Amino acid sequence: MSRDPYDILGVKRDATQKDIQRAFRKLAKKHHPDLNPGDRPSEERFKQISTAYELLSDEQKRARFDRGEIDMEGAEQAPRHYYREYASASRPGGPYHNSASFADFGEAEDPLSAFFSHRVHDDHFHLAGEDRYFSMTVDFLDAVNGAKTQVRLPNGTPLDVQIPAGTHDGQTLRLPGKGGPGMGGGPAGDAFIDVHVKPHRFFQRDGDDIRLDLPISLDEAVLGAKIRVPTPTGAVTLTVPSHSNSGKILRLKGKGVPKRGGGRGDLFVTLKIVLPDKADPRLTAFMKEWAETSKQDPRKGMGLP
Amino acid sequence: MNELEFCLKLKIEASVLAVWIEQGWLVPDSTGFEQQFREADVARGQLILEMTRDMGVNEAGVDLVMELVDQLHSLRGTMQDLMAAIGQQDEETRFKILQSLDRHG
Repeated sequence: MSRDPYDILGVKRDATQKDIQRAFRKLAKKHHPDLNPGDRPSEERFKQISTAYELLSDEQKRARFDRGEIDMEGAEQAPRHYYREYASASRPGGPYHNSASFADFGEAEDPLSAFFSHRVHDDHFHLAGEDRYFSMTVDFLDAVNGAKTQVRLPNGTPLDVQIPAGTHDGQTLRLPGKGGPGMGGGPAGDAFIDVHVKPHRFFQRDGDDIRLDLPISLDEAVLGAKIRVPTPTGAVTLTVPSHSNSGKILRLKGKGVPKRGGGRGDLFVTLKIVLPDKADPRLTAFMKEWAETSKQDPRKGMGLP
Repeated sequence: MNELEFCLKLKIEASVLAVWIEQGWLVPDSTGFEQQFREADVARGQLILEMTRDMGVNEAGVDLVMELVDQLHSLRGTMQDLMAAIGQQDEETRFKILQSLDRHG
């Protein structure tokens, strides 16, 4: 460290008293330990600065220094205690405690205990936990009937999720209190889960209704039949009236999707006549015979020549 | 120490001390028979003296500086308590706090 007061203050040898004072004030503002309470080394720097200033601001001492009669050691100051040593533990109740900086934190006088107790009236300290967002894919029938499942949080912990009956694709489920934890007695955040519903092999969702293409055989279509039909809640028996056409729609009331306000949508069954897997010679023979006598023209009215 | 001892220690006139107290820069302990000054008050007085005598800070300036210095120390005290409290938490909690700071920082 320099032992030259001119170097320390950063002034020339021929600097005026005004220059010296200006240089000292500038450095003192920057290095005074009490104006820089967190800056430990500032104490040594300030000591140098004020020792140098004391020497140079006194014309007689400055002249003696210039003549080499005294050095910086001669002007050395006694060790002292800065205010910051006493003030570093400023706590509520102390004579110089000033909590104006916390005034907007709620209980200004003692913000920490206010923060960690539940006594605070101010909303600032009821920090609600953060909301968390997830997405999950669920099976068609689980979405229709409701199901219990789990999502895995990023940190690995599983979160139980109740999928309500009637959940539709793209719906967001809100799990109150399943987000991040709150602070200071604040409530936990919520978890939000985007639900994607997988398509089903043969059911199709249409709002609260479900549509189903149901294959029937030729004889069932012509003669009518009681057949088993799948529904989201299990198979039921459906009566196909005799002479039912392909494309005929039968309604199974209340076999659709549970509605939010109670009740259920319907299951609409569209009949689809399916010929036997392999051509049957007897059927072919019968059709030839039948076609000769049939007068039916299903494309009548389509304006065909 | 009493008023006289305080003035001798800082080499100031009693009238100067009166101004400091009136301005609220010093708050001596007045619970006893006569006002008592602490070591902290001496250090505080030195700061005030340096500002007025050496650093060219006027009365209004000292007022402002002392107000902010007190606020700063109160904040530092709270900050120290908070950091001590965080330091006592288990590693997971400290890590979570660190993460929160990262996110908002």
